[in-house]
Amino acid sequence: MTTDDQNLINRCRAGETAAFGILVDRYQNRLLRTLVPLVGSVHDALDAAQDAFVLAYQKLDSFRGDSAFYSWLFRIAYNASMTARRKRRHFPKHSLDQRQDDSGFEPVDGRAPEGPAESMMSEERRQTVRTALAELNEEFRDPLVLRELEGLSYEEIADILGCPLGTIRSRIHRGRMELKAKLLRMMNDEQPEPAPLRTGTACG
Amino acid sequence: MNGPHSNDQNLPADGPRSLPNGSELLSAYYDGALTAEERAQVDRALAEDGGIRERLAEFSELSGLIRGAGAVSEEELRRAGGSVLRDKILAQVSAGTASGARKRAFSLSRWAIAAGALAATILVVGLLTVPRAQTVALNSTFEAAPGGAIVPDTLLRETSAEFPAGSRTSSAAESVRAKEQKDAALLNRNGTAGEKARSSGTPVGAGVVRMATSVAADPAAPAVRAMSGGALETLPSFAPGKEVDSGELISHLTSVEGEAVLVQYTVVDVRRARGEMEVLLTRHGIRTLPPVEAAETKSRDMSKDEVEPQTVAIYVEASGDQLMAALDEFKTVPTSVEAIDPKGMVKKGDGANKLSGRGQSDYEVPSPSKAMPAAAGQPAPMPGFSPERPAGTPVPSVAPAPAPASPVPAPAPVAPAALASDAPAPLVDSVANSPAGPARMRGAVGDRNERQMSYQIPLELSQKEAEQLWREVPKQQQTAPTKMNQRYGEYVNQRRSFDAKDKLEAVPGPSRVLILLQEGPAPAAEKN
Repeated sequence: MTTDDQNLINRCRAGETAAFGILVDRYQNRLLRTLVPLVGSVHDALDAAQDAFVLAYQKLDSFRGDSAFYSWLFRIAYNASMTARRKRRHFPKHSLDQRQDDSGFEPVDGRAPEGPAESMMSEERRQTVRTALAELNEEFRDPLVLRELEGLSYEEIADILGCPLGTIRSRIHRGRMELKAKLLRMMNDEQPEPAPLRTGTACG
Repeated sequence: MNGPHSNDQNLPADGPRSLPNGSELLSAYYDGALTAEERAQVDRALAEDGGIRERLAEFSELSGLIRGAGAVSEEELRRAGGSVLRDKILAQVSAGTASGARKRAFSLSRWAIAAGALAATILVVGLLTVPRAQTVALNSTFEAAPGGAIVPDTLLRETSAEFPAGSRTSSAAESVRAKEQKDAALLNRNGTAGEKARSSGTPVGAGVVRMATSVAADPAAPAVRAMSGGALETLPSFAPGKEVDSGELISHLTSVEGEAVLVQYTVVDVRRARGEMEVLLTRHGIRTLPPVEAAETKSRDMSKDEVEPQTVAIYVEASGDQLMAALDEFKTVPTSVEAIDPKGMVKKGDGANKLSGRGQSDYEVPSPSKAMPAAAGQPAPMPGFSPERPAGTPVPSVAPAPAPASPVPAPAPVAPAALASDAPAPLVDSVANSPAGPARMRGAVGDRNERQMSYQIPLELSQKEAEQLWREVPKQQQTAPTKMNQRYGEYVNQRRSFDAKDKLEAVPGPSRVLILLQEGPAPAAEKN
């Protein structure tokens, strides 16, 4: 953990909430980058991030600094993302606004907007990949996203997900294979749906 | 991810022949997660096989796509309200609550949904007789007993909190007003009192538990009596397999007019459940004290990197409605209800009535004749289950089907013989057409003959009553993988959530409540 983070945390502990604002500014984008593919929408990712930051603030006293602040925060956020996903399952949205609900965007015409400078992907493609990720079984999606977007080691992922190392290795691989198949199908326009991969059981 | 590689999806799952264990090895190679020996093996394969190199390049391409999917543009963030995320978070932490407007109304139906592999047990401990003399203890101190390993210091530190007074109300209007007051009190406490305590240099440490009352929002309202916290180090052991002695636990909880609550879940994955529970509690503005992990752990296998807790105890301060809203979102459902007196004895009779506010005891073990009034040909009044129906309103009859919305107040709980056979009406019914449909379980028997014969287990039956009915079902049907088994399990869960809601409603707030998460197998339909 950086000294700067530790200083900010100390200030938070002393009751200076503005210091926590600096931590939020510092890590919210990084957190959202992972949460969006995990929960499938910017709205839900923001909800999860909000919950995570607030919970982290409340638990700051229990943060011992053994790990980086962000790693600690991310574990809280991952739990929050699971809550967000479950909420979506319990309250599925069926409407013409589905696309908006999923992406946080108003539906737009088919023309790809000008790509933002920070991304080489068009918005359309970004949504396609998010959709494909959302369709993945979470047993495959979660380790894959944690690996690709958080850069976590297999050991760290196994720890977070409560799975054996070998299971993580297998699931990341299968996640890649299934995601690739879905993307190919989506990009090549509606080929027949192959049989889904057999899903495993929850770890832990 | 297009064009040249599009036919690769048809490759065998284990990848190129030249690479044992195939793509999985390659995938781990890409992630740098192989042993030196495995890495050398893949290196050799890469040098020999262009197809493998191509597949490796695909992983890189895939990585780019996934990372791109995570990128959130400024415009996207703005549209989703992300530009004010920081402000919202700071407002929440300043106010000391995460609930605010996001607090949702209790949705009973969702309590009844058994979700996933997790099963839950909720244990509501109530009706404890607390001597009047044992009232509020300010800055009470206890001697830390040796060997109090179950409660770490962190718990003792964090119990230095102030308890705002709440009010116990009876009418709905008063309840709403009281809730608003409680919420305001919570906001105030969490936002200011906690920080004051933290910044004022209040001495904290092992052995000191400071519980106090604050100024009541309604001076006329009776103050919630906060227990002194008792001797936290004497918490009963959460050792695996040992039943929690609720009589001991209760001394650490807030007791208001002799009531205290312990919510117990049996979950498959304690760690994950704990994380999710914390998120939910935060979301609903419920202050939590640090979880207490059981001294006994799941595994002593030192070859594993870690030992996981088998039981986690989370102390919370909340009102019943807050708890209901939060637990409503938890992915497990409650599965049992008990009332236990301070000596750990099961309460029966009038005590239960007092807690539930209903005209029947949830705790009394029914006699066979009481358990199955329909079997004896006697109609029985049924308390309501549907949240839309006021408590005490007779439930319209559901049999025979299709039952019109006639307010016949004497439905017939299913008889054992009907459960066990393909007996026709009056047990045949259509729940969907029943005005009491949401309140009832429907099962189906006769799958073997493709005959869908519906039956019901009315929820006004206690668990014991239903179990008694269940025992009458032939053994082969109990063990057969039929819908009947599944329905019975659902009934039990639904019944328990019903009872749990009943008990949680009686919790005045803010009260100190203990939530226990215990590891255990996900039970199937319980039979005994």
